Amino acid sequence: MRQIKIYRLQENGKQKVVVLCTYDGNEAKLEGEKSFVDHLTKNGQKDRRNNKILYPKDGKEFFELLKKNFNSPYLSAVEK
Amino acid sequence: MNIEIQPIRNPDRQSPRQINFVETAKDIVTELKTGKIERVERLKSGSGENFFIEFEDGGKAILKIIDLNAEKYEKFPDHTGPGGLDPKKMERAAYLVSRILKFGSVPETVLRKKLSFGDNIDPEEIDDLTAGRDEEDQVVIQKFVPGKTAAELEGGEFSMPDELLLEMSIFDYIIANADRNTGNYIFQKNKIHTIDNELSFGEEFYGEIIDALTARASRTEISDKLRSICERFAKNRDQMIDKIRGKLGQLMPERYMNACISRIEKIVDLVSRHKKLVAKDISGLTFE
Repeated sequence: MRQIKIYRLQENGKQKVVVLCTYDGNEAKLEGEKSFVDHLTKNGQKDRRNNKILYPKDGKEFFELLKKNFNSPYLSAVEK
Repeated sequence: MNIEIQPIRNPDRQSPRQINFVETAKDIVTELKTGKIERVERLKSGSGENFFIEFEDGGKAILKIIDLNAEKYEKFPDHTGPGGLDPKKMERAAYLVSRILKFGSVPETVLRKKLSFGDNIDPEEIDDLTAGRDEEDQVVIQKFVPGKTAAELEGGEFSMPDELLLEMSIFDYIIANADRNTGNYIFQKNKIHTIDNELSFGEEFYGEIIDALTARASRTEISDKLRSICERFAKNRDQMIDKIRGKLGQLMPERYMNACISRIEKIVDLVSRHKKLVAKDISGLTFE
């Protein structure tokens, strides 16, 4: 089982896990802050290599893309 | 007669970190460039080294050490090739364009070499930040802004005001920002702060910039703010171009700077002729 944590930077300089994504070989599963999870589930993420929108059901591709799309100091996806 | 002026102190003041006396953009930039760092927090990150830092007087900032070998730069030949665009400098350049044109969307951003530290900082925090780093290497320091990224808002960017999104898209066209995604713009108090501008000013993913601009322009008219930005530029064109050349000339090769100026002129022209931008006009916008 692979895991990615998305960290949000808070005003006190500490990072907080806002979303946990797990990939079990089939589907990517999201849990965490409702608005963020809902956003990713409904709107998906854009894969810039081919302009495709990927959703959690796309599994590994969606999982890997999190690390590319969320890599700012404010919002950072890190695989455990 | 000598009059001694005493500084007014806030009676509720609890610690220097809790009060930020810095107010103007100039003061903020001075602090980012010269302020003593009192606290360093390494951030967990998938690419590059990022730190949250706090200055002696309580100002907060993000310090970035950019690693061009990181995977995120793979698709950006303009930013990694010889004679190309240095991502650190592009962060600063984006701030300068935002400031000169008065978009005010990029938080104050500086490049800094030598770092100085306050007396109370934990030496381990200094080591964490400076170990293995040449003192002459520049780091990016950008004022911290609180708020939520578009990705964290219910409804994503669609919960943000359309006119602010259009302003951001126009700014992204001007700086040719190839890396705007829902994780790198922050909504706070009816304002959008654009962060992570290091992959700007090149020609990569230009089509995406135009697509985003077209989609956002279709949802709203040109705002008063955008119109006044363009009118100000048109009125003071020569001085503003000189100012942009003076600042950007130190940060990027001339052809990229000329392309940016050309994009500003194209937008100013379009905005002066239309109430609302339509796809036909936008499709005519070229990179240079």
